Amino acid sequence: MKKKNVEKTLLLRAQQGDKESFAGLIGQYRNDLYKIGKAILGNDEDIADAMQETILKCWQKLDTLKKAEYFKTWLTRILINSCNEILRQNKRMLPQEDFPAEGIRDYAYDSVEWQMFLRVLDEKYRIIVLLYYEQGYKTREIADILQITESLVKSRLVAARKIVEKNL
Amino acid sequence: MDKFEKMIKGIQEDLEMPEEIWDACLDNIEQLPPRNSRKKNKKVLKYFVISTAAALAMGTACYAMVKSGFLERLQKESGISEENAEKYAQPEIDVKIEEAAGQEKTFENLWKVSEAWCDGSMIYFEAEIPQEILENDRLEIWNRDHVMVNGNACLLNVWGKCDEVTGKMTTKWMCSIDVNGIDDREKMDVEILVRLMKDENEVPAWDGRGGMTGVMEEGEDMASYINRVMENIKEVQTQTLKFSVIGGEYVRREAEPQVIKLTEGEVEVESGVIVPSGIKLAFTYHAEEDAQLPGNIPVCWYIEDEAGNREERMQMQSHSDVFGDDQGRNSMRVELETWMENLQIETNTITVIPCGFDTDEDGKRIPGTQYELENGRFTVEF
Repeated sequence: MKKKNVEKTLLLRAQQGDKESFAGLIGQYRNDLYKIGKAILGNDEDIADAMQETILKCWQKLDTLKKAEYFKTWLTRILINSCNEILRQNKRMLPQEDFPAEGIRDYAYDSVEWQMFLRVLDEKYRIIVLLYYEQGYKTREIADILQITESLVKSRLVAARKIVEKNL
Repeated sequence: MDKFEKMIKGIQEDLEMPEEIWDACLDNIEQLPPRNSRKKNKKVLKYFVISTAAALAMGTACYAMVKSGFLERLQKESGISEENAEKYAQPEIDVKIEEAAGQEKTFENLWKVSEAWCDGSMIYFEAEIPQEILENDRLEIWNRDHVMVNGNACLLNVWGKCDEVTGKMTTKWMCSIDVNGIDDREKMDVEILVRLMKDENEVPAWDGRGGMTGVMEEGEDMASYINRVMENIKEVQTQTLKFSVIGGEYVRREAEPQVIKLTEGEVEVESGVIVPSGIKLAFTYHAEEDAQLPGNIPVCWYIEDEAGNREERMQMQSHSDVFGDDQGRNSMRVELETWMENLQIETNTITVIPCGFDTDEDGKRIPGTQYELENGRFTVEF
């Protein structure tokens, strides 16, 4: 069975309450989701929390998704919103003056490139760079996911390149 | 390879989710509540992110309560003309109720349904809930979001559960069933499962406005909280409502699939339906590789009948990404749904007009800046 057909079947079963199919749906994108979590939050503890929120929201709203082909985009949007909510919570929990400029992150186990990526680029650039170059989304899709204009996506992609070239 | 490309190559390489995180995800999935209780859980989440004041304000966002009858409400909330509201009304429907075995019959009618409306594509009806249930913070009525119509699962939408001013639950809920997906629409046998749930938690879980009041224990996560609360919410009465409505296939008009030439490219109309409850269109634009398609930029859509009446509000609009078709052109599929409130049902054509508009720094539409896209307008014949 083709991947898209498998996804459609899994979605239908999950919408009928089958948790194994739901796990299958999430599982096929787990590494993509992890990278998105990494790009926004940086540390595994927060990523695990964001995943938990995403799973719950996704399960609750599964019936609002009408077409299986939009599942990944839809799931990505929910994860990004969950990550942003955790970022906001972290900022509220820590007095502003104590908040490290680059957030609370543990780079020790990251590759050199991921360390560069996380250290040099601000979160608002990282998520766009990751979605565009790593996950293959088009600028229009990224604009939809992040609820910003396509021109802003494009300008941030250009800016991200300049920042990396200047700071590395 | 410059620094940026080197970094991109690095982040493109495999980075797998650690097993501990994935195992935690699987645990979370295992603990998820059953699907038929998700609406309740959604309200729990809302409760924790909004203040009490905001919760009251939330009530104001609920659909308007209509003071008079079902048909008046139908006109007001579903954009159906007065003439069509009366024309397709089914004022006396015979509802049979089946009780689940082994349960006490606490209430005669969990949902009292006495009249309906159907145009062959949508069924509307009002469900009356016993006041006693709404006043008891230990009782709540649940329904599934699917019902069976002629043996097919169809989407059920329920709204108007709370008064827009007071935010309190109301006794009359508005319901619609989308029956577009079934083949035989002449006569429709409807089956709806409704359940009365009793909250046996020490602290009542419901707030009387459709939300939940429960409190998470220290160190408890959301999924565990929901699981704990749900264990003490029991099903005490289950009724299956069975009734039939006349479908009225004759009021449904469909457009033949057609290809319409544009100045640049063409549009392929897959389907078009006109029924008293609304218009549904599905079409795909095809244009040369360098041409801009509606949807490449933010667009709003207008639908016009042959007399020039125009509907500017879409009930639903969605478009795909731009994709390459088998002839190497840029393509984009669009689906639109709108009401018939401002349009004539007898119209022989429907014109689709995409418009661009200016946006502010946040990407939001600036009112009054719409302009018609030159290469997007087309007319479908019915």
